[in-house]
Amino acid sequence: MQLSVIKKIRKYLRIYAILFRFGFIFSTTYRVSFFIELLVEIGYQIAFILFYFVIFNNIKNIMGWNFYEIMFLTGLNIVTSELILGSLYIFNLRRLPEKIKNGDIDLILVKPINSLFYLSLGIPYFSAFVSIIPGILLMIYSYNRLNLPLNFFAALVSIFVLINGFILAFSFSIILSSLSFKYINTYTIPLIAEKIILYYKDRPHQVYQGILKLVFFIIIPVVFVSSIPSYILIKNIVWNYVMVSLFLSCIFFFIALKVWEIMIKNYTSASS
Amino acid sequence: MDEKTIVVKKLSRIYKVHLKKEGVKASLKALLHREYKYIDAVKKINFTINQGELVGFIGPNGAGKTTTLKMLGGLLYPSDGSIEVLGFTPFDRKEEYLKKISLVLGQKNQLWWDLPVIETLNLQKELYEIPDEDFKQSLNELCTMLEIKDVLHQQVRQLSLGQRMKCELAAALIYKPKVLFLDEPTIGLDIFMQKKVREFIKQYNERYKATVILTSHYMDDVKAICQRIIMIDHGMIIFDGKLQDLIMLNANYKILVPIFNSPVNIKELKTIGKIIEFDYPKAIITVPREEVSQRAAELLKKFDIDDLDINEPELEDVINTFYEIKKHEHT
Repeated sequence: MQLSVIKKIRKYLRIYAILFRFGFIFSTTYRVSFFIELLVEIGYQIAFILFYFVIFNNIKNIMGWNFYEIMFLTGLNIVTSELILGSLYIFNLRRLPEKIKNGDIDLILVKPINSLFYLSLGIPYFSAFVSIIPGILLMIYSYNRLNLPLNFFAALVSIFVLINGFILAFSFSIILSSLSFKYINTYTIPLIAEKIILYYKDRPHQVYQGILKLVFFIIIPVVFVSSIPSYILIKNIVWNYVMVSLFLSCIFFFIALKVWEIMIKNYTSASS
Repeated sequence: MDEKTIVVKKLSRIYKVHLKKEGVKASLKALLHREYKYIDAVKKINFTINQGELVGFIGPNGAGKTTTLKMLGGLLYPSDGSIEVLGFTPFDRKEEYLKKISLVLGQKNQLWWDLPVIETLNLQKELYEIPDEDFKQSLNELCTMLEIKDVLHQQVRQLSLGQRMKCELAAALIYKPKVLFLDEPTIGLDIFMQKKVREFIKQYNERYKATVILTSHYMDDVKAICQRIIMIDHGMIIFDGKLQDLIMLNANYKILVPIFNSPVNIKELKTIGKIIEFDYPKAIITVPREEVSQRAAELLKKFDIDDLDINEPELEDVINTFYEIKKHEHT
C-alpha cells in the first residue's frame, strides 16, 4: 500500500517535471513574447513596491507592520502571486471554461492520470517562475534590514503555513472554477477566484476586522497565503493560526475534490 | 467461446438543451426564465462486442454514434443503462481501465502543437508507465508500420495533416491498448493517406488482437476495416450484423456496366434492366441479383459490347436504401 503511494507520487513528479520542461520550451520558443511577459511582470512588481514607498512617506506603520516588514510581506506576495498565476491560472484554470465548451478536455479525461491534477496544474507558465526571483531578493533584503536573527524553527512553521495557504488557494480556485462543467461559458468564474485571491492576500491580516475577519480567515482564507507566514517568520509564531490553517486546508481540499468529482459528471463534451 | 470485451445494456443518454430563441427581447427574457428541452441522443441500446472484433458504428449526423463512443470511453456519464468494457465500468475512469483503451478523435489532437512529436510520445511513456524496453520496441514497430521515423523530431505544427494523423495514431497506440475507439480517424485525409491509415488499423488489430470500434462517414473505411456494422439512427440500433448480410438483405440487385462499340437503341436497352445512367459509350444498369447471368448474356447477345463489368451496389446506396426503408416503416 505504502509502496504504491510512493510509486504514484514519483509518477506524478516525473510527469510534472516533463510538463514543466514543456512550459519552458513554450516560453522560449517565442523569444520576444517571453521577454515582454517578463518585463510586464517585473513592471507590475515595481509599481507595487512604489505604492508602499508613497504610503510610508506619510505614515510610520500599517497595523503594526513597519516599512521593511511590509517590504518582506511584499516580497512574499510577489513569490506567491507568481506561483499561483504560473502554476494554476494562466495556462490552466483561466482556459478551463473554453476547453470545456469546445470539448478540448476529451483527450485529457481518458488519460490514466488524475484529471484535476492535469487540468489545473498541467501547463506551467514559465515566465511567472522567473518572476519570483525579484520577490525572493526583496525578502532577503528586507529580512537583513530588519536585523532579525535566523530562526529555523519559525522558518519551518512559516513554510508549513505557506503550504497550507497554497492548498487553500488551490482548493478555493478549484471549487469556483469547476462550476464551468455545469455552467458552460463561465469565463469569468476562474477570473473572479483569481482576483479575490491575489487582491486580498496582499494585505497584512490585521486589516481585516469584524465580519471581514470571518470572511478572509474562514470563508475565503487568503490570509494564510502570504500575511500569516510572513508574520510567523518576522514577528512571532501564533499557534492558533497554524492549527486553523491546517484544519481549513484539509476541509477545503476535501470539498474541492468532491466538487470536482460531482461537477465532472456534468461534462457533456462538444459534438464532433 | 469468444471473450466478450464490450457489453452494453439498455444504454441511454439524454441531453438537456437550452432553447435559444432569436432576437434581443428573447435573450433578455432568457436571463430570467430559461426554457429547456431534453434530447434522447441514445435510446436503450444493447450490443455485445467480442475480443478482436472490428466493428463499424455508422449512422447520419446526430444519430448518436459519437455519444455512444464517448460513453464507452468513459467521457460521458450515461443517463441510464450499463456498460462494461474489459470488465470495467468506463465512467469510473480507473487508471487500469484507461491504460487498456484508446480514444482517437479525428478532429482533435493530443500531440503538443509547439513541440516535436517525440516529446508527446515521451509524455505518454510516463503517463502510461511504459517500461523503457517496451517503449523502444513499441516505438520502433509504430515507426515502421506508420512510416513516421523521419518526422519524430519535427514540431507538430510543421507536419502535414496526414503525417499528423499518423503521429496521433502512434501516440494513441504506443502503450498497446486492447480496445480502440476511433471516431472519424480518416477525416480530412487524402485518399492515399486514408488507405494507409486503414491498412494500419487492420494490421494493428491482427497483430495485437485488439478490439476496434470505428465511426466514419467514409464508407470505404467501413468496407476496408469492419467485419461487422452497427447502424444507429435517432439513438436506436437499426441493424447489427455482417456487412455482407446488410448488402444481401437490402440490395437485391447488381450493377451491369457495359461499354458499347456502336450506338444503341435505348428502348431495347431498357429490356435488360433499369438504366441508372447512360452516357455513350458507357451505361449503368441495375438488374435483379438472381437474374444477373441471364441478363448479362442477353446484353452480350443483343448489343455490340467492348467491355462489361458486373458490380456489387455501392455501400452508400445500400445504406441509403436501408435508411429509407426504416424511415418508411417508422412513419
